[in-house]
Amino acid sequence: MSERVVLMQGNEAVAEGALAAGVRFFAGYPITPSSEIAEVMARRMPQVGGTFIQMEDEISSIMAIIGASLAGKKVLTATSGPGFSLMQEGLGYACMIEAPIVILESMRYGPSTGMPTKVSQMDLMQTRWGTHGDHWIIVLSPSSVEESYQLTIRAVNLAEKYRNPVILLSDETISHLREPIDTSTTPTLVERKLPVDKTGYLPYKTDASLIPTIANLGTGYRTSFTGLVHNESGFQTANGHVAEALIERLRDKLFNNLDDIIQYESDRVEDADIVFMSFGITARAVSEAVESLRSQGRKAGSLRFITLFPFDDDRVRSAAGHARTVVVPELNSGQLVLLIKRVFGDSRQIVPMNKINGDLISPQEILSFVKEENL
Amino acid sequence: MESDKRFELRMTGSGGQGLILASIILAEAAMLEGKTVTQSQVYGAEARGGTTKAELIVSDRHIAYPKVTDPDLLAAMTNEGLKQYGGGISRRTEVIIDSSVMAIPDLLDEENCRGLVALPIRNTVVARLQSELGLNVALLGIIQGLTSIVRVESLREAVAMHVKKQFLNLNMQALDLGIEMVETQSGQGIRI
Repeated sequence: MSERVVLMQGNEAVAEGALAAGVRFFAGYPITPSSEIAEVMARRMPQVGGTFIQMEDEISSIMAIIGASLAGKKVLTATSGPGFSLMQEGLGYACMIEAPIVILESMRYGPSTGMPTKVSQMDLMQTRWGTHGDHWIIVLSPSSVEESYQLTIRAVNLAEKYRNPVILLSDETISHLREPIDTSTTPTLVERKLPVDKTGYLPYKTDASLIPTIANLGTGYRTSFTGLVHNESGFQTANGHVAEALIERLRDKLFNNLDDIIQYESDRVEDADIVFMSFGITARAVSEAVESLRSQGRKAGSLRFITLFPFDDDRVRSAAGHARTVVVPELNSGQLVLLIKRVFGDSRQIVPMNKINGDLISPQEILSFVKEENL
Repeated sequence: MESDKRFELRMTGSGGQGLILASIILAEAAMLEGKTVTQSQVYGAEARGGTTKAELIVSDRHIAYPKVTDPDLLAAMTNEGLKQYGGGISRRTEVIIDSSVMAIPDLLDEENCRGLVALPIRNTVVARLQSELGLNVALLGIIQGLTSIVRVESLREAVAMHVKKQFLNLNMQALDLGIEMVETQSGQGIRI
C-alpha cells in the first residue's frame, strides 16, 4: 500500500474529509457516536486557521454554522439522532434561506436517548421529513471509512453548489470502524456563486439554474435572510404566487440536476432474480450475501443507495433490473422499504427485512432469511 | 490462516487493558505488509472499566462485512469478558485465556473450539516487567507466536507508531515476552 494509505476511524475520516473540502468552521455539541468528529475538529481547526466552537446545545450549533455559512465559510456540524431532533428548526430555516450547510448524523438506537452506543438506521425518514413544511434536502450515505471521507467532500461541494443543506447519514458502526483509507488525491472543490455587481442586485433572483447568487454577509451587499416566504429581494411576503414559485424553485433547483446529485452502486442486477436494496453499513452484509448466493448459483444482485434523497422513483425502477423479488434489509422497522414499495407497487414482491436489537444484520442472517422465506 | 487468507480476531477483557489499542497496532502491522483490515470495538457507557471487545479482520482481499463472525482466534483476558463475548466461537476458533485471572472454563472443549491455550499472561508480565502496562502488547506477541499473522518486525514498527517514547522499551520487551511465552511455555500451558 502507498505511503498515503492510513488507518482511520470513520469519524476521523469525516473530519479530515471536511478539512480537505475546505470546511473552516465547525460548531457542535458532542454526542455519541459522533463525538470524535468534534474532538478532531477542536484540534485541527486552529491548525488550518479555522474556527471550532463547542456550543451549549444542538439548536445553537446549527444556528452557528448557518451564520458562519452566510458569512462565507464552508461549515460542518456533527450529531446523532437526539441532537438532530433539536436541529430540525434550524434545518428548515437553512432550506428556506438557502444556506449551504453540512450536517453529519451518525445514527444510534432510538427513539429518544435510546441506546447511545448501539447502531441503527432508524433516522432515515427523519433526515427527509424531520423539519416541517415542504422542503428538499440532499442526503448521502457512506458505507465505509473511505466513503465517509469522499462523501464528506462531496457533501460540502453539493451544499455550496446548490445552496442547500446536505446531510451525511452515517451510523455508529461506520463512525467507530477503522479501515485503511487513501487521502492522497487532491479533491476538486466547488465554490458557491457570488455576485460581482451591486447594480440591480437581488439576493434571491435566479437564472436558469434556479440557484440564487447571494452575497456573503459583510461584503457590502444589502442582504436579508428570513424564514418567512420572501421575494427576490429577500423580504417577506404573503403573496401566494410568490410562495408557490419559491417552494417550486427550492424543489426544482435540485430535481433539475438529479444526474449530478444521485449516485447508486449496483452489483449484478442485470440478470438477477433477487435484488437487495440497502444503504450504509447494511449494504456491506448484502455485498457478502450476494457473493455467497452467486457462488451457490443463485442470481442475486444489489442496489446500494449512496444518495438517499432526492429519491427518484424512475431512476430506481430503471436501476433495479428485472428481479421478481426485492429484499430491503434495514436496521429499523421499515423505512427504506416504504420508498421501494412506492416505486414498484404490486409489480414485484417487496420483502422487508428488519432488525431492531442494536446489532448489525450479518451476511449469514440474510442467507438464512432468503432460505426461510423461500425467496 | 485459512486458504482464503482471511483472519478474524476477537479480544475481550476489561476496559483499560489496552485491547482496543492492541487491535489497532495489529491492524497497522498488517497494513505495513500490504494487507487490508477492518478494526472495530464494542463501546460501553463507561469511560474506563467495564467489559470490552476489540475485533480485527485481516485479509488479502477487500473486506465487505467488517465485523468478526467466525473468529480464528479469541483472546480472553478476563473471565467476565469470556462470559460476555465468548459466544460465537466455532471449531475453527483457537482460544487464548489468561490463566492468571481465570480457571479453565468448562464451556470450552474439543467440540466447540479448535484448541485452548491457557497462559499465565498477567502474572508473567508483572513478574518479568514489574508492570502491567505491557499486557496488551504481550498478548500481541502471543498472537504473533501462535499465528504468524504478521512478521515480528512489522509489529515492532506498529508498536513504535502508537506507544509513547518513554514506554517503548517496556513494550518491546513485552512483545518479546509474549513470543517467548508461546515458544517456551506453551508446552506447559494447557491445550485441549
